[in-house]
Amino acid sequence: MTAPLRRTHRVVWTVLALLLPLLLAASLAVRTDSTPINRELHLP
Amino acid sequence: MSVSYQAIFWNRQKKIYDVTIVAGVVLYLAAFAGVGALLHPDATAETLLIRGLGTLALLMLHIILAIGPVCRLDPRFLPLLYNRRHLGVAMFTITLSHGVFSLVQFHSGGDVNPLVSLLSSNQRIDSLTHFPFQQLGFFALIIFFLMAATSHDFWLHTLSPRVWKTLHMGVYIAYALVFAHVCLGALQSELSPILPAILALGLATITTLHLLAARKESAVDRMQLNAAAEGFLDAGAIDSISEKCARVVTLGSERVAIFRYDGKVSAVSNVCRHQNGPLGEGKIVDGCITCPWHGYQYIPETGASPPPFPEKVETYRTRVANGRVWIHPQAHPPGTRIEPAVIA
Repeated sequence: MTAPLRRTHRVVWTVLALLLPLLLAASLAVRTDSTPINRELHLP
Repeated sequence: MSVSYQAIFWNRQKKIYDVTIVAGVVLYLAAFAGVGALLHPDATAETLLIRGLGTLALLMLHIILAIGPVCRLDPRFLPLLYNRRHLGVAMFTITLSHGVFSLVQFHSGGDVNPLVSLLSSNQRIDSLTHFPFQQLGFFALIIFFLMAATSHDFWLHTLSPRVWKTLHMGVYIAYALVFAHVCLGALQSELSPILPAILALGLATITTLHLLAARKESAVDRMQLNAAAEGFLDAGAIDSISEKCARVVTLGSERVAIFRYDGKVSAVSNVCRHQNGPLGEGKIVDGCITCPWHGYQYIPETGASPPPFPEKVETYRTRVANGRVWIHPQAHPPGTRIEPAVIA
């Protein structure tokens, strides 16, 4: 009765365990400073 | 467990559970706002609130996702499971607050409906850095809403445990959406290594717990019983079952709980009618098999709940011979009385 739910659960977490670390790595690889230093700006 | 519908049956444990949740939420937000104001004196109150609510919702989601597998691995954590739905609804409320404040902060200043703005202002799905991450959070919020709205036992009975469980497994999709929401949102604007480190630690913890629990369950499913005369299967030594406890065996694709009590042995389906809880991990209390999840009870000989309750589970024939328990794999209709095997 609950075997299909257990199987789905196992498959879902196997897929998430593979995909989410890849997403995290990819998002870290592409991130850039959203407020880069303005080298032309000279504050007193 | 009730014949008539009851809104919420408040008891001392539920009150303690809820007070703990509220206290935790207040303490976390106060600490986040205090530390945030010290570290980032230029940050506005709205920004601190949005981030505080967002991180709190993420933390609560991790706790919710950890409770299930932790209880599968160690029954001592079961009290956390009893009222997990309260934690889920609290998490939805926090997530909704995060969403509403964000909508007001970032999408209510123009002449377009804020929801339309949320769904249409950013369409850069070709870029990870500029991905419309807010929409991911919005879709996760819809799933959390469906779960919170159907969290009551009324919906459990109306939809049936199987449909309800399937619907609530949507939390895994929501977790993936929230994870992507943070990776493509906050992580792109925050260069501090702390947030990605916490996110990675949370992911590693949750996936490890779920995969360990799944492996444990797989071992039970793969268990093969030896056949004997008249179709009975060897379910192990009687001494391996503690008094008023059970041994769970798998017959085909069904799990059966074999209980030992008062010099007798009875077997019933392992699946509680309430939320598919594992009856075999419960105990016999006051003469009734008691589900470890929410306390639903069944009489061992009949598989029926004591009157006036209507729940019933399948029963199985058992024998005890030469110090071993034998079980017949043929399930009898829910509520069928089967004489228990007597331990000589």
